[in-house]
Amino acid sequence: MDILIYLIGAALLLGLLGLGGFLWSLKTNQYEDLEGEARRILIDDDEMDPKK
Amino acid sequence: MAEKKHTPLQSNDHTPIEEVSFSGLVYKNNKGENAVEFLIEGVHCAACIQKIETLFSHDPDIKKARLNFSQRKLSLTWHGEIKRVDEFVHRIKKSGYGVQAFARDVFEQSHKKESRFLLFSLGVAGFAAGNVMLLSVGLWITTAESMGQNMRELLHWISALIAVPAICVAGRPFFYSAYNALKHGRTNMDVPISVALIITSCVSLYEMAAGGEHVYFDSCIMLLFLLLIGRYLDFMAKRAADRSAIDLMETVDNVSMLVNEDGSVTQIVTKDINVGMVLRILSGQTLPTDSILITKRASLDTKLLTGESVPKTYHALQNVHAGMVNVGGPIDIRVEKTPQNSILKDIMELVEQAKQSKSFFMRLADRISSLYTPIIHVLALAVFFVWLFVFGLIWQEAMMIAVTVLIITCPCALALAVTIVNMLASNKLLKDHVIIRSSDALEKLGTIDTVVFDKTGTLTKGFSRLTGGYDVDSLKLAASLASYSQHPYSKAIVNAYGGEALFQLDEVEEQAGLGLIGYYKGKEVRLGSYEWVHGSKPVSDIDHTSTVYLKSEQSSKPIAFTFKDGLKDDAFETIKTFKNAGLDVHLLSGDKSRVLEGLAQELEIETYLSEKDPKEKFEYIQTLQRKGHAVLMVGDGLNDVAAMALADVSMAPSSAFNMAGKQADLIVIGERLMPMYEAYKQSLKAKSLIKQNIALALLYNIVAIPFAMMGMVTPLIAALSMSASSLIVILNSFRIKKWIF
Repeated sequence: MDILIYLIGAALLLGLLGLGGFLWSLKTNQYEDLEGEARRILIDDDEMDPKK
Repeated sequence: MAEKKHTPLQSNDHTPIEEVSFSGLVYKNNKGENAVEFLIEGVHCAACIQKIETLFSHDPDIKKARLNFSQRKLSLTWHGEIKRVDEFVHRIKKSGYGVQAFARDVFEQSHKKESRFLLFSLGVAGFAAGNVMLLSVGLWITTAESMGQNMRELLHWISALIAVPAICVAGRPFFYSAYNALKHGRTNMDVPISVALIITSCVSLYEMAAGGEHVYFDSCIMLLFLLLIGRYLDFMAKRAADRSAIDLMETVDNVSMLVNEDGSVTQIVTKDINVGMVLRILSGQTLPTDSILITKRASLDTKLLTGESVPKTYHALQNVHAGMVNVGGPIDIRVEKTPQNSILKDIMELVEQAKQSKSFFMRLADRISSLYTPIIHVLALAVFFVWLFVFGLIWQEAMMIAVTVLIITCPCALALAVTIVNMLASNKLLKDHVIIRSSDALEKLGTIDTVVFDKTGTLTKGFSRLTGGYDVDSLKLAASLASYSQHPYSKAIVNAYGGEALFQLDEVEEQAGLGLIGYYKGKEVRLGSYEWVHGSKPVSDIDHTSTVYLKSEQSSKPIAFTFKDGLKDDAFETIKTFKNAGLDVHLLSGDKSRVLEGLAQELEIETYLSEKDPKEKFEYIQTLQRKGHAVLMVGDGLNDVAAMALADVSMAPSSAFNMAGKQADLIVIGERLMPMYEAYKQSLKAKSLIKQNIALALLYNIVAIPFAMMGMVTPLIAALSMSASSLIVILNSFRIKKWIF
């Protein structure tokens, strides 16, 4: 049963990583303009250097 | 066509609109950089984003250039001179996009904050729910014998370690709202939710410490997660409604044009207007505040203030008021009162009075929770005492059973019952061109029994149409001359003619308030008032305000063109449908009784009142309400604002004056009236679905409570039954998408 300690730890770590990622995306305004972001994928990076 | 020429009313030439400076809109952001926001017109694809942002990507001074696609809003920040803003605007315009001034909105900022707060809570709750569930499944399918007591306790401890902080952090939207309600002596749905969350956590902690079996962290965090999803969806629906309303009305009216002493023109935000400033009002713009007219003569449309459909003529040094619309050429005005102290102030005072005298509308969900909360808490207490004294259980176990009653009755399904229906109904109505602006609008709309309509701009199109038949040549000549003017009658003549090929006229001039003069093949042609054409005042008392005369060489006598404010296409149909649905329809207008009488007959409205000022309109609604009626007020003008504020629920067409639009609970986009009835129908359907949902949620409680009271509920049953009841309510709500009752 000792394996559970590692598994729970790993599961929690992955969960925290996900949460961290979400909070980071929230903090960097990535939910402000969902429609725009969907279209921005179509822009080729080498053609522009957008100022963030 | 001859070059358009206006009568030289002023010495200085008007600055063309393209050269108006935007520097008045620039502000310093918190990093000390210059910042400005524009609304960009004509953005519709990824290439547009790229094109506009690349315009600024090679400029070393520009720190940020980002286009928000959903809002069509470009945010620019830069170091250096403020004046460069005009160069930026020029750059955008040169690449083929329209630029509109956009005043920063404090409202928008608070929205952003709340949206983040909810998303943050949702993220935390989602993380915690996922991980606690993972552990709980193991706990559900095993017993203390098969897993071992120590292992179970470990899993409980880990669950607690995740769930308790998560509930403290992510439960705040509910805790704050419940605290606010209690502070004001009310209760809402968030009170029982908060109580359940807190008690469940505390008892679970206690149980865990005592090594017990009844640990409910899973139910608790799952419940919070589901509720937050509902809350966030609700918030998004409201935000979408607010944003479309802002787009419709605020962008232009928030900005005015200031004439500087050197004659240059800059844009300023309306709230920065001060006494003594000279403002330029272009054709079609609304006056932002009470002022004195500087220009010699102006033709102003007062329908938003008074409900009169015919524009009036004003002369230099006369007082003009906020809310009037300039229908002649550009005019200059000197500000007499700040917008906050203008004529709007009196109306705002009435609005305030309305808000105070209005009975507090209690939403169905809140009404239920005000009954539900005490009943459930008393029931739990009773269960505790019965187990303790009648069955002689030790207090810890009696307490545990009482708490399961609280947990199983946590109003998750009840809280979702209203939210989900409202959200789906709002989305559906948005597709039918109705924007819902206040969260309780739909519920209020379902209770009305009387509809009061304003006339001008609400039932009528708000602009004049030519009536009667005229011979083609005269009409063409009139249209040729009228095409030089922005006056509503001129537009009506041009519309009535409809043809493209107009006569070639020379030296056309417009005298605001009088008429037009021009030369056709060297012969003078005049179009305008009786006085302008005949050269003398009319002798008889016949009303000439809705008539325009054409004098030319072609006919011996001036030809009279008469106008009428046309009804909206579906006005008759809409009123009839409202009446068929069993509602009383009244007509309330500031216009002359002569105009109103014919209209009321045409629409078959029995109750109509004319020449009412804003205060009288307000009092009329008050009288109706004292008689026990629930009133829907439909209006569009400044003179309707107070009445709309007082009415149980209010609607405005999207063409409405900014303030009327802000006051309205619902806004109808476009020229049609029928969506108003659709909204009413939808509100009835939403009401019945909400009632069904509440019945379902209560039914669940009636079934579940006896089990909880008998002490038969385990954490697994609690988690399953609560999720199931929420799911049933959500699925039932989706029935609003179909049109069957």
